Amino acid sequence: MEILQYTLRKLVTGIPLIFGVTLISFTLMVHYGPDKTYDLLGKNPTQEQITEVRHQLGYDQTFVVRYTQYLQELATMNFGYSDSSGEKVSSILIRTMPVSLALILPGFVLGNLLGIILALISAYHRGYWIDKVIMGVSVMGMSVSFLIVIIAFQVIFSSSKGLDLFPVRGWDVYSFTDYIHYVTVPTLASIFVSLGYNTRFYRAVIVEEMGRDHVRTAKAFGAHPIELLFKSVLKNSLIPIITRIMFSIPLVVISGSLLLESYFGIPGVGKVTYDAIISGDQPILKAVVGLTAIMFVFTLIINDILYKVVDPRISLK
Amino acid sequence: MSIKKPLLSVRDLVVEFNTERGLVRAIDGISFDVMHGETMGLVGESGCGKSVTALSILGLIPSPPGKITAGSIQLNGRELVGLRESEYRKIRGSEISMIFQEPMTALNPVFTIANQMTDVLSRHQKIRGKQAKNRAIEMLELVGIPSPDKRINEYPHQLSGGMRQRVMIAMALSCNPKLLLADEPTTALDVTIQAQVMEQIVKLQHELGTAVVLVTHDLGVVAESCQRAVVMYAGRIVEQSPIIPLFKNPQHPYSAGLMASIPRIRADKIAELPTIPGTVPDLLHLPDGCRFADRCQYSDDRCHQEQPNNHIKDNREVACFHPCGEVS
Repeated sequence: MEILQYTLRKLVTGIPLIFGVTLISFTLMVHYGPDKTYDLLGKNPTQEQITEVRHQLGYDQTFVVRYTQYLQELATMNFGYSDSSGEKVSSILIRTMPVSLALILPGFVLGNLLGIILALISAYHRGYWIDKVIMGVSVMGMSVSFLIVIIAFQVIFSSSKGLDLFPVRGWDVYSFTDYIHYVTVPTLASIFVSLGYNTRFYRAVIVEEMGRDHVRTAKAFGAHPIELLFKSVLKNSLIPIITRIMFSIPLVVISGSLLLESYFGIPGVGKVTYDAIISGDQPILKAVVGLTAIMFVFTLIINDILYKVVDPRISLK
Repeated sequence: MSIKKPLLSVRDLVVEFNTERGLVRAIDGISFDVMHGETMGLVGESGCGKSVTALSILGLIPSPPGKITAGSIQLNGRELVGLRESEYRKIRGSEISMIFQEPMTALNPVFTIANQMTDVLSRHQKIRGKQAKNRAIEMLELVGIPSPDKRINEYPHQLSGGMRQRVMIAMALSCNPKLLLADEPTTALDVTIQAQVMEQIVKLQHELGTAVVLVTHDLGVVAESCQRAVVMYAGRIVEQSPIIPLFKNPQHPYSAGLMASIPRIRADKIAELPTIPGTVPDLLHLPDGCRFADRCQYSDDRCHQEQPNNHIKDNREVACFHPCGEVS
């Protein structure tokens, strides 16, 4: 009950946030955005033709009217039709979002889980060789550019010069085996790139927690290292960990997979967004930007509720 | 009557810490015994090695940088120095328990009291679930927590400092340890609560027959609750003695200084509370001779050159060339 009230209150406070983000993105991307009038007209258009097209595109209306229309579109989730393909924007998103999620999720989950486990091991053996090895490899992983990693992994796993086990690009998924076939190399690449950052971040959090008095108490009462790490320490370190994971979700879902999708030729949201930016396809951009803002607000709320679940000292009032 | 065997016997213990500034010998060859069921005070100013002594008994010296480099610690004749971690874990919390100075932070903030106490019980006593919880409630009742069946489901932050320390005591005694190490158990508490908590420890110790090593800088607490005390200075034991003669007639000039600096109601008014001049020597640059020599009013050339050995006389041990200020 308390949580429900809290959620509602947070939703209300999220409304101004949505207004702010949509206003800024509307101003930058639509109001000052590309003018498509002359793309749609032939050579030497008459003044009437220009006015006609500008009216069709809604350019002749005031800023306020156009912004209100945008908010309406957001509220009804009806963003009209793509300028370039003529397909309904909502159906494009419904088609591509699951692909992006399916592509990014394994790497995201494994990258964070492995990061936490390695960080726990590293923090527990702080100063010993195993810690130094893990930290050294992490720095290496962080230092190599994502592009290089993608290309290197494609060469290693997908080319005739390497193992030649997986396809270089594409997304031709009809069964679970297909899925594994296409998702493995992108997943490995994204784990490789995120693992270094994750491990270093989580290690710092866990090292701080390991120095707390209650950890010494647990040791003094004979706790096994596994119990110590995965129970006493981990639950206490969860707040920064949750924050990091939750806040990367909107980015990961919408745009994080852009590089992966374009290099592996996978038709996900990232690729659609990228193409929309290049071609000035405003209906798609408006949808993606608005949805990202809304997702951030929801993520914030879920984040705060998870804090309460993890740490009883946090009050929801 | 045969000579009673001690419960805990520490011999020539040396603990060193590898710091950035060099090797620091935090404890330099200390020896003492704790008998079954007795309360022994471990007294000294901050940094003299009291807490390190307690932690090394439990094998909890943070390593690196710390290490026990020499000596032995025996519990009921069993050597603890160099014991395998897995064996040591079975001793911690069951045969030897410890309570800490800061009840605010010593309990895990994100688990309920029940969760933390039943963990210890299931680990060492192999009792689980309802049975473990009932045992934990019994223990909470024993340490004087009102309505323990409700309190046990609360989190540490919902309890007051005194209550938390009681929970720590309950947890420490829940597996009937033979030895309880209490590291400044009352320092962080209000004065009124201090007395209650100490009373509780002493009462339970009598009921359960647990030996207690009370680490403290509070001589008042030692005088009230201990039978014997060990006085430490800069990593060494300067005096150990039964409590009454120690307070009546301290032998080591340092103990004498400590006793003199206790605030109390005196027959003759004094303008200022006596203090010991100077400060504790840096453990990195220890003097060749007696470590207290620079601050001692009785020190002579020999004190500055030679380390005094222990003199044993009537159950008392003193490491001083001029015990009680006598000039040889």
